[in-house]
Amino acid sequence: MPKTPRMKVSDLANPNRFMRLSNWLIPLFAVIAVPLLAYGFYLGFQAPPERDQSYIFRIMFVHVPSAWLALGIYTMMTVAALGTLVWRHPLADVAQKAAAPFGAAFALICLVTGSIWGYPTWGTFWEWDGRLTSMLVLFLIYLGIISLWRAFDEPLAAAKAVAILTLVGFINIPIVKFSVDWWSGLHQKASVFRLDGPTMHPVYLYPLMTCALGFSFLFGAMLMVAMRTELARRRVRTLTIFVAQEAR
Amino acid sequence: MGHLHTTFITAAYCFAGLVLCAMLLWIALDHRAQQKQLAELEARRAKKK
Repeated sequence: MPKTPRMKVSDLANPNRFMRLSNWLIPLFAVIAVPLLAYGFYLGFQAPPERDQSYIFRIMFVHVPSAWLALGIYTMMTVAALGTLVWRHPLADVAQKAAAPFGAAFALICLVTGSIWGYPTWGTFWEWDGRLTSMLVLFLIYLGIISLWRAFDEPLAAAKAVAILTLVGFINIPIVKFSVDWWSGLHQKASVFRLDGPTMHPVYLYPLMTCALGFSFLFGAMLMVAMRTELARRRVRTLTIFVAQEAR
Repeated sequence: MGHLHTTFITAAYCFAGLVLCAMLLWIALDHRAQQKQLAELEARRAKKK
C-alpha cells in the first residue's frame, strides 16, 4: 500500500508554501481580530468602575495587551534569531525583520498609554522605576534592531548581525517581566500571569484576555503581510541585479 | 474626577488607534509599492526574453 506523504516541520521553511498558506491565513486572522477587539472593548467598557482607580482602569485594555505583545514579539524574534544562526531557516530572518517595527509600535503604545494612565494614578507621567525603565530599554532595542537592518545592503549579512543583537537583547525580557518583583516602584505587581493564578476579578480579566487575543490575531495578520512584502523586496533586489547584469 | 478620567482614557485610546492606523497604512503602502516594482521588473525581463 503506498504511503501517504507526511508533512514535516522543515516543509514550513519553504517560502512558496508560506505564500500559499498566508494567502488565506491573513484574511482569516483579520476577520477573527476585529470582532474579538470589538467584543473585548465592549465588555471592558461595560465593567463597573474599579475600587481604587474608578474608570481610569479602562486604559488597561489597550496598555496591557500592548505590553504583552511587545514582550511576545521580542521572544518570537529571539526564536527566529536562533532559526537564522542555528537552523538557517530561510524564513527566520524574514519574520524577524518584519516583526521588529510591530514590536516597536506596541512598546511605544505601552509606554505612552502607561504614561497617560500614570498621571491620574501616581501623579506623574514618568518615573525611573524598574518596569518603566526596562520597557523603555526594550523600545530602544527595537529601534536599534530596525536601524541595524537598514545599515546593511546585503540581507544575509544583516540577518546575522541582527540575530546576534536580538539574542543579546533578550536578557532584557526577564528583567521587564520580573522588575516589579525585584525592585519596589510605582508600577503594580503582576496580576494575571502568576504562579498562584490571576488575582484580577473575572469582570476585568475576561475583556482583557479577549482584547489581548484580538491584538494577537491583528499582529499575526500584519506580520504575514509584512513578511510577504519582505519576500517581494528581496525578489526585487535580486531581479534588479539580474537586469543590471543583462544590460551590460 | 469622572471628566478628567474621560480625557485621559480618550487620549490613550486615540494614541493607540493612531499608531495602529499608521502601522496598517504603512504595511499596505509598502506592500503595494513592492508588488508594483516586482511586476515592472518581471515584465521588463519577460519582454527581453
